[in-house]
Amino acid sequence: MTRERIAALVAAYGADTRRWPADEREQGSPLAAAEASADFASMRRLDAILDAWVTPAPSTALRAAVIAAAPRRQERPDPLHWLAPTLSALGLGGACAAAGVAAGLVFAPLEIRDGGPAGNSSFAEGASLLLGAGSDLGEG
Amino acid sequence: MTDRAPDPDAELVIAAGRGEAAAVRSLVTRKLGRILALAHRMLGDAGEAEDVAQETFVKAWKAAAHWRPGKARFDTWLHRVALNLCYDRLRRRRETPVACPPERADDGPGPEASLFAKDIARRVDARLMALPPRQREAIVLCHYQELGNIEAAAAMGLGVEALESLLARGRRTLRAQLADLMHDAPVAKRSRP
Repeated sequence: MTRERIAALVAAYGADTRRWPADEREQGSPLAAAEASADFASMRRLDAILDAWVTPAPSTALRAAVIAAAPRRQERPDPLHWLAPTLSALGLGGACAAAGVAAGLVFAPLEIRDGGPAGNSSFAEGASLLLGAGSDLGEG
Repeated sequence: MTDRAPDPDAELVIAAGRGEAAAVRSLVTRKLGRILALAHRMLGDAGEAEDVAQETFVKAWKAAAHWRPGKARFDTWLHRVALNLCYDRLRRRRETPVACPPERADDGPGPEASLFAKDIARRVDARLMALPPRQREAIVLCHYQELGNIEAAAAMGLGVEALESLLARGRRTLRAQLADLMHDAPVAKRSRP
């Protein structure tokens, strides 16, 4: 780095090399800066004077107001949330689930018999095994 | 510091955008003081600085919900928003003549030539406010906010060369105007975060 560049850095960013641009910080030690810039000492004093101006920290009220304006996570209610405790209380949850499975097994073969989609044939075979319905299932 | 480094705030911003309370609090802890100080030094008025800080965060919360990392650093973006709000207020001040301009007199050293920090601070405040706004902005961003040169230039919408020119002119003026303090100023090394 040239002496001119060091002098320009002192003039712009001050005597504290930690404020210099990152890529030039490594190359400019305070000693080199002091030697290269006639302004080094006065800029160092100016840095200290500027640092004397400390602004107040945010008040608790400001912090609270800023946080209050932030988005809040909306807990989305389960559309059937009202049903769960009712079923649970009545002990119907398990019964309904079992009924649903049974209904599926009973009605699926009937659908196939009535000309249901061919893609369901493997399901029909599985169901027939479970129900012991024999080989007539799916033959129309 | 360069803009290529990953944004240290990105994850927090996204989480805050989802409404996570802990992320909101962390982000406020990290940024509110910085933005308040920036506004205070740009406007020289504590009340207005609070208003600007609050407005800045209202915009930040809106943006957080759609924040996509990789474009601009959140800190640089936040500074830009706050600076724009400060400039809006400074413009309004110019357009609205006031009967009594705010008291911001730098009377030079008092009869006791006090070197108390409070007096120095008052004089720095007055001299900084008397600088042309772009010079003041450059010094506030680089010296006080400690933004890197690339970030500061980006926040000001300038090239780095133009930023350095503003900094050098501003610092030269301040050095001349605070010359009477220069001989007695402490030169102890300060610690930086």
